[in-house]
Amino acid sequence: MSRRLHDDARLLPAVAAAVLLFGLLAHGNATLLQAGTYAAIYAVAAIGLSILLGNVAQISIGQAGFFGIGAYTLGYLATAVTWPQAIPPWLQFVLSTALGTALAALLGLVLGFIALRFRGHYLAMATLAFGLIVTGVFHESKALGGAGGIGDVPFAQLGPLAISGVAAFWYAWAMVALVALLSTNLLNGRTGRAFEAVRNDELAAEVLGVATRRTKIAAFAYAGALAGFAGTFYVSYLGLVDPSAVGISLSIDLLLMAVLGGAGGVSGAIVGATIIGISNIYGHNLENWRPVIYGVLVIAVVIFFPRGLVGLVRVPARKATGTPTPGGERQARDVARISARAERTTAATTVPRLVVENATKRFGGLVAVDDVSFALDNGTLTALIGPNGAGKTTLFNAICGVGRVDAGRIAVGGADVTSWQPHRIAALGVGRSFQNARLFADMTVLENVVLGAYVTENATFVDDLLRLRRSRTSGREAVERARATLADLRLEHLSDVAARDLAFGDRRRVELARALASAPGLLLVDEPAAGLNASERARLRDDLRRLRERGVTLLLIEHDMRLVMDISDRVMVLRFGKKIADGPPALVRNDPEVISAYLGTTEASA
Amino acid sequence: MSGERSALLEVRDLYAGYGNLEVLRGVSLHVGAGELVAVLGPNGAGKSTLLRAISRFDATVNAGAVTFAGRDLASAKPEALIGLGLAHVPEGRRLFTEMSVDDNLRLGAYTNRDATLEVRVAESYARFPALAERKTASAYSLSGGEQQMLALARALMGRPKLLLLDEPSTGLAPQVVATIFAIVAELRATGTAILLVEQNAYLTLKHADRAYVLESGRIALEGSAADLARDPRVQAIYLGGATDE
Repeated sequence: MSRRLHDDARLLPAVAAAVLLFGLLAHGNATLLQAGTYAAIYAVAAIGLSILLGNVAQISIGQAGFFGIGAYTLGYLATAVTWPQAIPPWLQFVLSTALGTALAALLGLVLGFIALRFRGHYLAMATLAFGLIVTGVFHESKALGGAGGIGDVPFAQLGPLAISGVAAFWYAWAMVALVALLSTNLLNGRTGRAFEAVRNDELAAEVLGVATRRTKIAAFAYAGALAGFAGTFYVSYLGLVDPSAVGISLSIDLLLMAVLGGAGGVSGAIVGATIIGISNIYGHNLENWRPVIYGVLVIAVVIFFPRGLVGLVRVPARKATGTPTPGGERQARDVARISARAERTTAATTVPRLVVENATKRFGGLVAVDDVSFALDNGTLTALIGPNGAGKTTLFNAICGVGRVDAGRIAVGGADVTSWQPHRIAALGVGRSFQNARLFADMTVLENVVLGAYVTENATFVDDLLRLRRSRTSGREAVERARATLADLRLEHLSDVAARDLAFGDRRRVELARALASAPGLLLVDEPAAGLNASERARLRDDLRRLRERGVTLLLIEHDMRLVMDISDRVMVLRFGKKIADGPPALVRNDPEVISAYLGTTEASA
Repeated sequence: MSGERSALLEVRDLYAGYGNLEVLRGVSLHVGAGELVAVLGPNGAGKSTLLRAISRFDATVNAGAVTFAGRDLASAKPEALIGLGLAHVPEGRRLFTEMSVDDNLRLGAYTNRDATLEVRVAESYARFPALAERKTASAYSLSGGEQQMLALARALMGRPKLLLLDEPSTGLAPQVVATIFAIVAELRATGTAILLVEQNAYLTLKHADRAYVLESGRIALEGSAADLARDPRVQAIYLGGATDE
C-alpha cells in the first residue's frame, strides 16, 4: 500500500535469502547458530516495536516487560505445574506459548490504555516505568524464583524434535517468517491504514472515522503479543530466565534494533535484530562498554539515517499504477465508466438531517458559541459566516465531535450525537474538511483518499491479520471508491503524488476528495476558498454546486463573500458566538447588523 | 507617487506567502514619515501577511521589494529591523506571558540598552499608566486590553520610526477599543508613522490619513481615508457586492 510497505515487501525476499544462506553456512558452527537463533527471537519482538514506533508513532521503552511475561509464563508452566498425563509435551508447549502470548497481549492492552493519556517523552517515561514494574515483580516474587529466576526449563518438544541446536535455528526463523507474514497482512489491511492515519494526524484520522484510541490500544497489544511470543521461545531455548535478562537493557536493545534497521514495517526490525543479536554474542568482552556504544549508535542512526539501515537501500520506484495515459478511445470510455460510478459512489448514501439546539461553548470566560440553534434542510448549501473569532470553527468542531458543547444538543439523522466521539459521528455520514487541509503528508494522494473511504470498510483486526476475504474485498473496494472519487474531481493524474508535494490549490481539492470518498450525507467545509486563485475558485464553486445537486447537504464556512452569496441557499451569520442573521443571501447582505459586524461603525461602541 | 516627501516605507509589487501558498499577488504601497496608513479588507485578503512579509516575521517574499528609510530590507535580518526603526506588533500580541510587565518592557529595548533605557521605561509608564500599576504582574494575568497596551509599549521601547500594528482591537471590549485607538492617534500626533491593519473598517478610516483595501492578495482600492469612508465599494468588498458575472 504505502510506499514504505511496498519497499518493505520488496526487501523481504532478500532478507529471507540472507537467512537461508546464513543457516547453511553456519551449520557446523554452534556459536554462529546460537547467535542466529537469538537474532530470530529478538526479531519477533523488534517487529512489534518497529510497527508501534514506525507505523503508529508510539514509543515503548518497556517491551522487555512483555518479553518477560511470555518467558515467565512458559517457564512457570513448564517447571512448577503438573500437567495431566493426557496432554502430550508438544501440546503443553503450544498451550503455554499461546497463554504467554495472550497474557502479554492483555498487558499490552493495559499499557495501551495508559498510553492514551501520554505523549512524547511522557509516554516514553510511562512505558519505561511499566517495564521496571514488571521486572520488579519478577524480582520480588518468590513463586517466580526471585532474583534467580526460573531455571531448568526443558527444551520444547515438537513430536520427535527437541528445539535445540540446528532445529532451534530453523524453528526460530520459521517463527519470524510467520510473524512477518501476519504483520505484513495487518499493515496492508484496514488496520494498517488506521495505523498510518494515526501516525500522520490523529485529528484528521478521527474525523475520517478512525477510532484512534482503539487503534493505538490495538497497536500496543499487538506489539506486546509479539514480545511475549518471543519471550516464550527464548525461555524454552535457553532453559532459564531471570529478571536481569528481561530488564531495561533488553528494552533498549529492542529499541535499538527497531531504530537501527529502520522503524516501520518488518524488514528493518529483522535486519536490526540480526546485527544486534550477533554482536551481542561476539561482543561479550565489551560488556561494560555496550551501553555506551549502543547509546552512541542510537543517536548516530537517528541523526544520520532517520529511516534506518533499510532506508539506505534504494528500492527501485514502482511503476505508477492506475495512472491513465492520455489518448485513445478506450481511455475515454474508461473515464466515462469511472465517472458514472463516481456519481453513484459520491452520491449521498445516507442523508442525515442536522439539528443544533441551543449550542453553547465556553473557553474560560469567553463564550465562543452562544446559544446557537438551527436545522439544515437536506440537499441544501448553507454558508456560515462572521468576522474572525465569531465561533464558526468552534461550532464546526462541536458538530463533528472534536470539541464538545458545554450546553445544548446536536442531533444527526435523529441520533443525539452531543457527546459522541468524532469517528462515530463520521460513521453516520458526516464528512469534514479543515481550514488548513490536514492531509496525511507522508502518503500519496490516492492513499489519502483511500483513508477517506475508511468508514465504508468493514474488515476487523483478525480479518486483516489472516488476510481473510473481508480484508481483501473491503480494501479493494476502498481503493476503487477512492479512484472513482479522484476521477470525479478530475484529480486522477495526481494519484501517486505525495501529499506534501502538492501545490496549495490541489491540496484543498484532494482534501475535498478525501472527505467525499466516504459518500457523506452531510459535509462540513471549512474555508475551502482560502488561498485559491480565481480559476481555482471557479472550479471549487462548480464542485460544490455539483455535490449539492447530488443531494449532499453542505455547511460551508467561507470568507469569500462573492462565492458565499453566489452559491448559498441560505446564509447564517455569527458574531461573538451569537447568531445575528439567518436567511437568503440577498437579505443577509443588506442586514444593518451584519454590515456593522463586518465593517464596524464609526463609533468604537459596536 | 510619494510626491515631495520621500516615503519612509515603500513596498513595490510584492508577492509573498507561506510555503506553497501565495497570499500577496503584487502589492504596492507606501507610508510617509509620520503618516497613519490603514490596510483594510475581508478575512483572508492578506493583511496580516503583508505586515509579516514587511518585517520578515514568518511570511516569505517571493518577488518584489520592500525599502525602509531608503534601505532595501531584502538583506536585513528580522532582529535587525528594530535597530533600523521598524517595529512590528503581531496579531495575538506574542507577549512573554510568564514574565512580568516590567521584564517584557525591558526586553523591548533588548538591542538598545544604553543610558536612555531608564528614561524610556519611565516614558512608557507615563504613557500607559495602567501598566505602571501592574509592573510586577506576570503578562498572562493582564486583561486583553492591558496585554495589547503592553505589546504596544514593548514595541515603542525601541523608539521606532514606523510601527506595524496588526489588529490591535481584536477581541477587546468597545471602551478598550476606544482607548487603543486614542493611543494610536496620540502616537501619530507625536510623529510615529503607523501601518495599521484592522477589521473595523469605519472606525479605522475615521483615524487614518490614507488607506488601502486588500482583496484576494491585491490592492482593490486606495485613497484618502475620508474618500474611502464614503465609497460604497468598500462594503461590497467585505460583503460581496452584486456578482460581477
